[in-house]
Amino acid sequence: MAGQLGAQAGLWESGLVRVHPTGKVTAFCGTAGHGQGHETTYAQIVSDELGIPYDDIEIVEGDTDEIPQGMGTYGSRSAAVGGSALATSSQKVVEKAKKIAAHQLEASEEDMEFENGEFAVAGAPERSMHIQDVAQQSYLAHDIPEEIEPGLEETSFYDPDNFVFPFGTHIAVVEVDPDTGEIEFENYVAVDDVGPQINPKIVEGQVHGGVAQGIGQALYEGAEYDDNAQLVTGSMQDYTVPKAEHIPEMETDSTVTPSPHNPLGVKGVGEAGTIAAPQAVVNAVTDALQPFGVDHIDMPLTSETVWRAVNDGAAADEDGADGEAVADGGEQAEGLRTSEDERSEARPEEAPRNSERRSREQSESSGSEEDSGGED
Amino acid sequence: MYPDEFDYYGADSVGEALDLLDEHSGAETELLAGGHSLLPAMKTGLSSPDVLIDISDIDAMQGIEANGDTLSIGAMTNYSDLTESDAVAEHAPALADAVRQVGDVQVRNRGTIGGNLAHADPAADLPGAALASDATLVVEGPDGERSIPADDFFFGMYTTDVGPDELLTRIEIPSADGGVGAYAKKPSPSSGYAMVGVAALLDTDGDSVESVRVGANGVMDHGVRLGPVEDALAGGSLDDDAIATAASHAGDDLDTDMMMSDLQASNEFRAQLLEVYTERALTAAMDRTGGSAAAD
Repeated sequence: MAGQLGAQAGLWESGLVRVHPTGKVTAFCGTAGHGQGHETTYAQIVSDELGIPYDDIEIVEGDTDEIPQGMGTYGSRSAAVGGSALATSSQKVVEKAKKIAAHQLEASEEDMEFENGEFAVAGAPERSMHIQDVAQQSYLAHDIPEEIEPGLEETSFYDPDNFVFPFGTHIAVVEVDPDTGEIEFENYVAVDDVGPQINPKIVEGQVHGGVAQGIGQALYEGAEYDDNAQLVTGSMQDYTVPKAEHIPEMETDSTVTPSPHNPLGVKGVGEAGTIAAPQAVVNAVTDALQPFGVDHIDMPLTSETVWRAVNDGAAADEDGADGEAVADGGEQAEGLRTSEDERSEARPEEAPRNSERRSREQSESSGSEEDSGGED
Repeated sequence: MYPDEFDYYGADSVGEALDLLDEHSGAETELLAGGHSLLPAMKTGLSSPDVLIDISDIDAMQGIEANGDTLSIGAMTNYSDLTESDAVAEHAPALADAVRQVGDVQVRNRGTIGGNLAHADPAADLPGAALASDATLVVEGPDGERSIPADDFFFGMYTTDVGPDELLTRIEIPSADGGVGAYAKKPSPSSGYAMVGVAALLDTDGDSVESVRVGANGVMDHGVRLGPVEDALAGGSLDDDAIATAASHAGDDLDTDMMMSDLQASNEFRAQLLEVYTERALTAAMDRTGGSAAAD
């Protein structure tokens, strides 16, 4: 799949799940979290698959001395690809543990049931064994099937067969002061479909962070150079990264449409906000400025940029050729509220940077299909 | 970044600070107050003094006192102490409102009123309030004290009437005596400094304006009084229309070509912001009069 799309490398990710003799687990993944809560999300995935308590699971990422080969974190891919690798490895662990449990319980493998970490013989639930006890037996290794190697750990190199397509709609409602170009948020609503949510709190946090970054791009962030090509926004005094006070309260909600392309059904969320917010915000501002004849405005929408657009737009208008008309228009439009909704099709999770252009095209076409399907 | 090497001296009294200034008059010397402008400048290499004289611990330059009709504020009093002072809120309401909008909590806990005014950053928040409050800045030098009205204090960007052998020791403000004040600021989204900030001090007698002083910072290379705004309001009625009309004169005495013009805002945009924020400051002050004017 990736090759057909022009990617120069595979889009796989590795996951190693090691159940220790104590029954505790260390899971290694080739991704590299930097604040997204991978340790939490991955531990939940492994816990769900193995039936081993969350607190008994440690996640190791980003250490090339410890982990198998990996591709890394980018393109909102970690849960969909890294998470799927860990889920696949966990399922392999369960399969091996089932053979050992069946052997120890003197039952056939086909008769074994597995639920919440407990292997039980079908129809005889008192004959059961927890997977953490199986782990100990696997390392003792004096009573395991002959064809089985001691130990309990498995590795997967999960290679997705397609991209996943999260989608969503963000609505920004803004009020623009034509006298100063200042923008205030009246409301911001984000509804995203990222498939089943392993940890809704983390998903919400990712949306918040993404929207904050998107608003930063829409309203504040711009690298400026002077005539000598000297970067003049080289410090935080001059380059505006949005602060908490610049970000509105936002409402988030979601629909859940599982992806058919990975065992977890999950889709990416990291870039949902960054992709939707700039368009939603800029279109809302442009909509608000319609009475001034403004139909286009370049990011970032600093106060002066907006103020100039109001004046230039009014000047371009045949009724508003002078400053008087600008002021009148300003009064008419003062307090004008507007909203703009923005459908977002997030970048495909597995897309590597070197095929960025192609993958975005893919996102747009296929994303729309998923979109309409999701609303049914 | 690390600053260049410098010698550090801590002064315990005004006299000792003046002696140190004299002793090191041949070197490039800076006075260290709260350090919130000087230290970043040193760390980014914009300022490389040979000698730092720390005046932040001089007891005689600390504290707030209300003596009769005059509020006296030690130059090394930090912003947080000013915001927590009932005396400042009562006697210098325009200054109180401006101080609340300086930087953030951490900055206000360290930065000082004297450091702010003596540094004379055009985008600082206090020059306009000092002008609106009719402050007198008291400096001490080898020949003793002299008092400088705020109107005469600011010369230009980072330049004031304080001589190289002198020290700003305190700020004296005539009590607003029932008047109201406000500061309206358009902060830079990146630095928080004022693109434009306007301070207004109003005293009303029912519906009419008995006295009004308006000062602005962030607009020119130093804080400025907005005389035409004061003239338009003084003696007249206080309402939204009067304020809007007065605010439209905010730039009358100022040359737009000479206004600050930088990445944050062009001079033309600053001229526009000056009118809007003058109106906002006056409106906020009017809303605090609590008299019949506020009920309009």
